[in-house]
Amino acid sequence: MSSTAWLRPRTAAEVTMALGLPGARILAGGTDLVPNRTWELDTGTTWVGIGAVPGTREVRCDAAGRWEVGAAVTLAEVLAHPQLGRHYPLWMEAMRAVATPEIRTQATVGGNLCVDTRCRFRNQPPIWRSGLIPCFKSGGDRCYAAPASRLCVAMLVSDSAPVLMAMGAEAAVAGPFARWIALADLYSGDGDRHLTLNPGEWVRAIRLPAKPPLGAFRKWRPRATMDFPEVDVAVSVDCDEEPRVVRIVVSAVGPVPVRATSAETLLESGPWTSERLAEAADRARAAVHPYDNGQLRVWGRQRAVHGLVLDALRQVASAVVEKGAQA
Amino acid sequence: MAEALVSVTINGRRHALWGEETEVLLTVLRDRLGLTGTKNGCEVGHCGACAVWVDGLPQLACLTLLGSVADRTVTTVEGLAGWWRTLNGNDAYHPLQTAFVDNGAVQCGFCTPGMLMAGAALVRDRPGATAEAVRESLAGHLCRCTGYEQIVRAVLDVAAREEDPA
Ligand SMILES: Cc1cc2nc3c(=O)[nH]c(=O)nc-3n(C[C@H](O)[C@H](O)[C@H](O)COP(=O)(O)OP(=O)(O)OC[C@H]3O[C@@H](n4cnc5c(N)ncnc54)[C@H](O)[C@@H]3O)c2cc1C
Ligand code: SF4
Ligand code: FES
Ligand code: FES
Repeated sequence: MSSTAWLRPRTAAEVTMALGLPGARILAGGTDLVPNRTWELDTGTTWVGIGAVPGTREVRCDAAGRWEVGAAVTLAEVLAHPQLGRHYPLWMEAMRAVATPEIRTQATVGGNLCVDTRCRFRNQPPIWRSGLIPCFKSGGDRCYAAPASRLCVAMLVSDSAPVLMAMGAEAAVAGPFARWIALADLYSGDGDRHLTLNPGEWVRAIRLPAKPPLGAFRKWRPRATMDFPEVDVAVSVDCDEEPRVVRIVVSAVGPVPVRATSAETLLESGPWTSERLAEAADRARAAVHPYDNGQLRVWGRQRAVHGLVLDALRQVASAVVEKGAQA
Repeated sequence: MAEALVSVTINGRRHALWGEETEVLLTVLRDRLGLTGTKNGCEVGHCGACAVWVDGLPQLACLTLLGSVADRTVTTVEGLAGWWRTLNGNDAYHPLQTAFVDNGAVQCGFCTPGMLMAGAALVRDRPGATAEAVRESLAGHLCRCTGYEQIVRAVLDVAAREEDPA
């Protein structure tokens, strides 16, 4: 195996500079990057750690009551935090659904958002792949999952992405032009280069709203642990706004989380009767077209979208009733 | 730049290792130090056979970089009984090792080192753990042979004993 250097810059500006080196990548927990190197899926030659940069390992609450969590904070630290669980139970559910206890000890908040996309035709050992002509993501000229597509459609598998999107969270992008972006704007839609980050840019922290909306999360996968999602659904509603703000996010069906906007519009006004919830789930299902690159069949995943959205909406509806709000 | 001297305590012994900081701990343990108790089941985080303790917490050696354990403590399955003996000064094996044998929790034995490291951390940190907690702590460990029931029983046995040392 060729050698990989590991730099540990001490300031955000040094990280950005280090990312200018050829083959440079951020190394966070390494639970995605390391196995990808082992299987020769990632051939980066310089790894840039971010944990030594001030603030990246911090959790703090600003004057407006918004919590900011550094990109290098681990999932286990988030789950064990004395306050975060109380404020953001939905995010906790997604964090607990990631991988396994050992991996959550190592994996980070930033790494979970930036985790590489996956595909059944690529995330395989080198000897398996040696029998295939390379696809787009392996530097080739085709896609096995979507032969008509001109772009790689590998899946975003981050469990926290759909939930943070539904919650209206933001990400701090560090680099030459530091800025806050809505989480949805982090993903490009191309499974090969799935982040919108420009050269030298990286995620420094995330920020969660002071008053998170009510929500529900569902993850569908072959086994109840360890497996990556085959479908993720995150739903949220904010009844304090008029009309209500409804977010229905379906993920792990392509390179970006999908907003089921037609279903959202339906539920923004009017009563949430069981018929209308079922209608919303139908609309969500119609809006989502999983590609054939997961472990499970496309038709099953599409049916799952319907079931999970309906289930999540029912949970949110009863939470709204419990809270005494009008729905 | 990529190579460095890494000082790490493994099973109570200090080692000064010269090597790639980004080499995974799994190959360092197995190929360089001959500690082959830690198994390579999948090499990419999907099986749990390579679990060791880093500063007492279970971590997967195939995902852990040598440079990340600098000046820290690593315990492998070879060091589990030794760790237990220094604590208690009596038993030859960690009680979980004995419980695995007594409960028929070992068949081919490939998953056993990882199961032991995860299970021993649980019974240390959460005496009296429920079956659900045991299953959760072993959630990243595959066993092709036993069907898991005996393994869960062995951990529960020891967890109950640790809670109420009679
Ligand atoms: C067996 C197994 C099961 C898994 N199951 C799940 C699952 O169910 N759900 C899930 O979401 N993930 C899963 N994962 C993937 C992965 O473990 C997690 O997504 C984890 O949170 C990644 O975080 P990390 O810190 O280890 O990332 P790393 O491996 O360090 O980085 C991942 C990628 O993101 C980039 N990156 C990291 N941090 C930043 C940053 N701050 N700014 C810009 N780029 C960055 C890296 O360059 C790299 O390309 C699983 C992995 C394994 C091995
Ligand atoms: S989605 Fe297509 S291009 Fe992308 S990894 Fe899979 S087969 Fe390759
Ligand atoms: S070898 Fe590390 S988890 Fe399988
Ligand atoms: S005993 Fe054979 S894999 Fe568990």
